[in-house]
Amino acid sequence: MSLLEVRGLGKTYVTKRSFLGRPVDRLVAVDDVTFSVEAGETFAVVGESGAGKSTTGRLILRLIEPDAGSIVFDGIDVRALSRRDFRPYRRRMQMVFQDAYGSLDPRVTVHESVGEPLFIHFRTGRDERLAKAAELLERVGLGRHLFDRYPGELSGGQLQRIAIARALTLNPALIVCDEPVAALDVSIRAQVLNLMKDLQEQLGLAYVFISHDLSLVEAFADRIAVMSQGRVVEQGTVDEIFTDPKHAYTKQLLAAIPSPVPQALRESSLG
Amino acid sequence: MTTTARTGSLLDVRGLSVSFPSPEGHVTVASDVTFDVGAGEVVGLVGESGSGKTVSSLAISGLVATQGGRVEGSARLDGTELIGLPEKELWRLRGAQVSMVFQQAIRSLNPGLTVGEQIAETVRRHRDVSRKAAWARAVEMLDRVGIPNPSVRAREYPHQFSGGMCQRVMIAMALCCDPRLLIADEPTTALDVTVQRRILDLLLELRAEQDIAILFITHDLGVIAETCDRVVVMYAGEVVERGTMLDLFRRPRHPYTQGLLDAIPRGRGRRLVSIPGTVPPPAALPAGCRFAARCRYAEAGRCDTVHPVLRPVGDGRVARCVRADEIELAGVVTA
Repeated sequence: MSLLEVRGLGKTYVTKRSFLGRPVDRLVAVDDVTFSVEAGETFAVVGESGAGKSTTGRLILRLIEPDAGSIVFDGIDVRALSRRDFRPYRRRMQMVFQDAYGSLDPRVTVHESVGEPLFIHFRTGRDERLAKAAELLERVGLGRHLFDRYPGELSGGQLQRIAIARALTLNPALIVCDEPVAALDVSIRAQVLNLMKDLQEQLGLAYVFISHDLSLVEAFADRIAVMSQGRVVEQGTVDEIFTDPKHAYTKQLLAAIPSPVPQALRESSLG
Repeated sequence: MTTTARTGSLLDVRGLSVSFPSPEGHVTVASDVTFDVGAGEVVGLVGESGSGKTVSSLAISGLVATQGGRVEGSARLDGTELIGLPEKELWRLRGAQVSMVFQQAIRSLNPGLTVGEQIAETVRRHRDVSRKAAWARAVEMLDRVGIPNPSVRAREYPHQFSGGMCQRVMIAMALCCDPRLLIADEPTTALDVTVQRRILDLLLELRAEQDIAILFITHDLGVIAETCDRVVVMYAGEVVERGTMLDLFRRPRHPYTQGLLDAIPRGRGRRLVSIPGTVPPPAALPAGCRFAARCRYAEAGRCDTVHPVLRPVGDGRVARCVRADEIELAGVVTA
């Protein structure tokens, strides 16, 4: 049994209503999306802006309520649960966003911020929260001298480490990461991705990795779903997608990636 | 040897420094920046955030002083000194001789005017032509940058254009008075890959047609590899390496350049090579090499004591590393 099974997931927005409030125009943001994620693997969702990949990520966690399909997590259809009954499952599925600064409270030290989910879910006492937070912050490689800083005093790479630590507070099995390194500099990006890989190995985490960057996905993911206009047009292992893409859109996407190996050097390295 | 010896450069930047006032006095965010761009050449200015690449380009186009910054050094465009030029003369040059396009094209456009009006306005600022002729030029430029149905789209407002189309409008506006130099600051960073591909192709086409020089500011080495003739690498406010694009990718001479090349994802399941640590803030730069604390080749007592100069390392290349001759660095095609 897979950790997460998404079947026929859909979300439609009404973009225009008539005078009487009847929907006139609709936008199908996510249309019949089906995939599964195994424990401990990285499943990438790629596509261009407007493809529906971020919406898909949010639908999985019910940050946005889907209007079609099922979300089976650990054998339970969590979409059918009430908000209240969903909470224990929600603890085990966390999210990391591109804008780490925006996802942290600017008036709370990062040390307290990382422990906060424990208070929200379990009313855990302050000492215990801070102890857990310290352990996690150390795990993500944040120096102790930075624990009592506020988000505004830290760099993008440090903030993303903190956001990851916070996502780990409730011991999740799955983290949905929406462009987690897109805003980071190349040298920092590698640090954060390597950290994510290490955490995955140590904790057996599964990632749903949402990204527009195919070369990153090639290095980081196990399996990939390619989305376009709300639909999954193709999915497969990294090998399948990169060596033998079937769908025209996937081919187009792969062809558009600027190669970091200059044309002239590519030729010389072959001949 | 180095590019300083080359005459006839279109843009010649020498010893450019930019500082901004702060509570702790002036903080220098770019120091002693030297490079040149030949006519019709595409030069990449690469670096991460805080490297000083954008602020250097803003200084060249006279856009730093307006923000309270102080600029020293020299930047000559076709022999004309740009640094310290009165605002009035800069106005004449900007658009006509040197133009800029930015990452957020839609924010650079006036939301209250049609795109045709904005381009025509630029044309009329620099050229003594009728409204009608200016409008015709606007439509011609929109056509040139690949906007379908240009005479209709010229009457539309920026919000009616997608991100990629907005960037085309920006490029049309930048090029409407045939400048000799285009400064493109991360022009494709916010765009989807397929759109990015089209914009890059467009820039290279325009360069081939009009012999326009491009200073391409980006953090993306893939974009550099596909567009540039020469590359200037910046780190923590200074140039650390200069060379032709091929030389640089084949065999970098500064450890930071190698680090950037290493950080490019290369293939399935391969762990990325990261550069440990972070860029030092401009107010707290170390005494020695600014990269030493992150450098795997750094030697105590040498690299962390004396600030290295940018020096020739052979084959017309320069690097700011005291160990450049002792270490063998790997490029992108070693595997």
